Amino acid sequence: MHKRILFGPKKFIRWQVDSILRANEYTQEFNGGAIKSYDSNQLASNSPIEDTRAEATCLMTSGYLAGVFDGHGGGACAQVIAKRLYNYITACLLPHDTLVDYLLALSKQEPVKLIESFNDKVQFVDDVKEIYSNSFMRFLRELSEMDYKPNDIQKAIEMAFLSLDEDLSREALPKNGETINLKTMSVAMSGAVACVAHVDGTNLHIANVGDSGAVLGTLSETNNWIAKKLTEDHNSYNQAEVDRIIKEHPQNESNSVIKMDRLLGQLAPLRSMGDFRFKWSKEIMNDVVVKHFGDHVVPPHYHTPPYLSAKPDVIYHRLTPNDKFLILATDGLWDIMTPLQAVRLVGEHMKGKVTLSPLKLPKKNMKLIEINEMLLQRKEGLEMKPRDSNAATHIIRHALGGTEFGIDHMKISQLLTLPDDVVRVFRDDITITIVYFDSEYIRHCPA
Amino acid sequence: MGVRVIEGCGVKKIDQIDKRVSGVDTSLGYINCEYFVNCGGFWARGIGQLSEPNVKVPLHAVEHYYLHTKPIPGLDPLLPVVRDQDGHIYFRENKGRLLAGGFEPIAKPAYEDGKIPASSKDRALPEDWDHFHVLMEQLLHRVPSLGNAVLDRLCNGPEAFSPDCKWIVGETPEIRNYLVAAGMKTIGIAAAGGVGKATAELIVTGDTDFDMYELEVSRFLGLHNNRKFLRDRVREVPGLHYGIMYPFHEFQTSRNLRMSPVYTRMREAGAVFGQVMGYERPTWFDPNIIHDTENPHDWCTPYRMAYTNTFAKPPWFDCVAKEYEACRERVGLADYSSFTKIDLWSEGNEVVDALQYVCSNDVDVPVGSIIHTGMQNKHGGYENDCSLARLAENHYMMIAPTIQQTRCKVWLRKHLPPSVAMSDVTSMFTALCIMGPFTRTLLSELTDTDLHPRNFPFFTFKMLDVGLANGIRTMNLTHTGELGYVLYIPNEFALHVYSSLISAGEKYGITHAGHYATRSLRVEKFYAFWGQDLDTLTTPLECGRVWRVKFDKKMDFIGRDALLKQREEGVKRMYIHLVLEDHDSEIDLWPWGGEPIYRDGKYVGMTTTTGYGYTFKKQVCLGFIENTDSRGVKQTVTHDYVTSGHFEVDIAGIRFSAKANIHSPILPSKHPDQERDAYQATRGKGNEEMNTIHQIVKTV
Repeated sequence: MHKRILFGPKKFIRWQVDSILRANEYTQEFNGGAIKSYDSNQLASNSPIEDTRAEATCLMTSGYLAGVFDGHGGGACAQVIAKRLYNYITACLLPHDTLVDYLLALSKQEPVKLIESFNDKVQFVDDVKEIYSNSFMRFLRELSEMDYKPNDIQKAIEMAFLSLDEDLSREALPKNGETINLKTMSVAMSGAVACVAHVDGTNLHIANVGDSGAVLGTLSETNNWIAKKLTEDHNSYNQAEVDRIIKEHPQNESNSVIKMDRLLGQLAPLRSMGDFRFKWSKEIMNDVVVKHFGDHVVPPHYHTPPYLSAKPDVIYHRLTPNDKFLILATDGLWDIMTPLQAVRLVGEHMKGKVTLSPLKLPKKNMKLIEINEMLLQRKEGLEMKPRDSNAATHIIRHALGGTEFGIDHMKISQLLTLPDDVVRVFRDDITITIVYFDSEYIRHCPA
Repeated sequence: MGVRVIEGCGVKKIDQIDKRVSGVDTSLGYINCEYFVNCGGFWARGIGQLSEPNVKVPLHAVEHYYLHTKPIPGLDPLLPVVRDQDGHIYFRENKGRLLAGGFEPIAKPAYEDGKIPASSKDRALPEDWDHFHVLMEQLLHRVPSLGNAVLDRLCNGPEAFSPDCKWIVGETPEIRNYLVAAGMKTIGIAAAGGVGKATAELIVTGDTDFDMYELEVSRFLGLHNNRKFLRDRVREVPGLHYGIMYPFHEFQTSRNLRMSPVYTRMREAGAVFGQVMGYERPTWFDPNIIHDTENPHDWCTPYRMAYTNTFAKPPWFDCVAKEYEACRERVGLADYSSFTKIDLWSEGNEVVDALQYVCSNDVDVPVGSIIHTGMQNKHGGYENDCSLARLAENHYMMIAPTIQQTRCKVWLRKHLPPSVAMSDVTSMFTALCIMGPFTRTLLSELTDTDLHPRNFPFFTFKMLDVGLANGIRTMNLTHTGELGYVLYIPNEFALHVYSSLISAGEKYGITHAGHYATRSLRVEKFYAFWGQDLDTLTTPLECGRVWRVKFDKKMDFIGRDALLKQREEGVKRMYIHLVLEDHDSEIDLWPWGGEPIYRDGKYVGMTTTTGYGYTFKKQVCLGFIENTDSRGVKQTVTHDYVTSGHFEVDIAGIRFSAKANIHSPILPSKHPDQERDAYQATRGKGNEEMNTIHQIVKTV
């Protein structure tokens, strides 16, 4: 995007706005199973975008995976985990016999796959590819030797997250005498939060690390939309999370562990993958990190690491026929829209209607007749059809341009033409994936 | 003594010992108590769940809107409170400003998930201007100049409504000394005086000096407390507040809940349904109905719901006329399944003794007999009015009005010793009533039992085989004054017995009859119904039923002293039957209950139930009259007082002359029947010893 003067004369016309909003749309439909289809979209604020998303079907077990990943300190970590995490998760879900067979097939270089990914447009470069596949083989071998039952899905998912995070660390640290690998090190120095859904029949598991969120859209019997937020944000607004961290460190650190709503005054999410400069021991920091990047990389008051964990909350929900869809989104959306607003938008979008956010009177001392005119105008607005076929786009359009009377094109145009150096103040990267459930399948699903 | 008000104190648990309140655990400590009043407003249902057993307080909060304007220059402080019920709105002057709001036809349930936040901040409801707009348009329509008034603020506060738009008061059926005063539906301040008085009286004396059965918490069943039932229902309840209440109002939501096994067949036969205690009961049948073939099997969606929507001749008149005629001259079949059915039994004769004490009639009748009896309170008023069939030496089946299902059990539980077992079998039996002159012949075709009156007389019970089914509890009575039988059929046999009756009945012209037809029969025949004519303040002497009170049975019974005293002193109210003389049912507005009755030009009482008498071809009104002297003191109402006066009934401002009766009339019929005609539900004279019907029963 070219730099422009804030509030300058350059304005986008409708089709330009449409083409920007729709550039990253993706829709995938399924036949049979609990998931009918999904809509996904992204709108960048950072350049390049630091959010990533991934969706896949499990091939050797049943189920689907979908997730959003919000990177920080660069997009490297988010990109790497988005491409690797699902293999770790599905591996943890394999029955032991299948796992052994799979290992055997891999060692014979047979082209067996754990997952089928959709909309995956990037590939690892050759040198990291090999590192990652070695790590994964090593992980599989360890897994096959463990006394471990994959039928506890919650445990399995948790192990996958933590194992991948360990591998990120191991891959970054130079082995005896080797020089540092700048690629794996940049992954370890950046970080990412993740929110991943696993759907198998009526069983929905959400694994969440950080401040992305998953919200379930449920239709009540009175045809009202109910938003059920399944995840808790791991940030400083979550008191339990703040208390947990303070408790894990000596009392004299209680004022420095979380400062200005950030971990050690620097990191907004209180859990994440990567970000090893909040995890590694002081020795590693001094011997490896400081040597290459300088003192400023070590966060202030770095006394008793680790300060950061990649342990996900894994939430279980049994799907009912009233659960119509699941919204996974990064905090770029949740910063500017409530779960209920988003659910209503998707719900109404399903029915082909428009939602208006509740009217707030624009000024004080209004005459009743003026209010009445506004309400009549809204009534008209409510009868219009949505412009976007992709519900994620529909949400983004409303998040940017929603007013009490409908979509304000000029408002969107303005937000999309902000110069790169200020845009981040007004909006963050937004990634949204909406998974639609097949109510009929869920109604008749035995398990 | 004295009162302390403690604010900011959370209730944690309500304890009971032996089903009687014993204490309350609160956030500020434990309080031992003898009585507990749950007046928790929209919290009341949740508080009900803080005790074991849970107490049902069926109510749900809805959003309720009103606005304040800024001061309006020149607004008259004496501006009356204006209600425009067509527009569902009200407004009034308030300190130089207007306060305006209303009760929208479709309300918005608040806290739909059933969780009401504890802090008032989290509880604040957002303003939904679009929802309020319905009322705002009506305000501007009625008062155009309001458009220039400046808004101060729009308020949205939660208000609790019960599923029938009535308050919830009285002692709970679940726990003794646990009282409720809730569901005040926005008029709690106005209600406070009366509700407070009644609640205080219940605590101090155990009863109230006005009848409250319509408001009592014992009018509900468990189904009424279902959160989703309430959430659906309260969408339409607030609208009733200002809606025009046509006769026989029916709710449109939370329907198709309780359905008898023959519901689907009733529907095919053209039934239009009303809801009573959650039960779908046919009100009338429209045989020409065209069925919706697109969704024939969705039994949960309300189908055809009864409506009247007029105060004049109702749309169902002709359908009901045909059903009435079948019941009088051929065979009618009605679904009585909603009736309350209770089995009562004991090892020895404890049940007989206990019922002798609870009932005013003599229950020690031969096995196989049925008696009608009141269950009187200590003032002689009707707590319940029921039929008791003596199934075996120490086993009775009680049939009580549908709306008594919770209430009558509370009364019995209070007065029966633990040695008497009680079981609510309402949902175990489908009740089909066949009535009309050919019912005996029809039923004879389907059973081996001899149905001749010598073997199976009026007002007796037999266990019959019908068709291929067995164990049908059959009662030779109809509750309408017609000849016939009520068959209490174990549910799994219901379809079979129904189908057998319909196919065998074809040659007799068997016709489905709905509730409106049976109601019309009983009103014309002067049959009183509890909850419509009789209440807790009405005694048998006042309603012509003293012949069912057995003062001479060897035992005392509840209310005996009060009734004896009243017998000596004479009654001050009397239940009468009025036939309107000059009313044109085609043109004039109809009586629907609650009309004033005049005697010689002076107001003497009000009608209770009314109906068109299809035999008289006239309107029939039942009601109570009094005899007040010039100083306003109530005098005895004598037969003379009734027969000598000229009566009129005032319907919407027009007085119609009426002929007063104190006996059930004998209606002409093509098929006269000695047995039927000898039976009069309501009788003038008090002490007719050993009437003819009773003799038949005794000689069995």
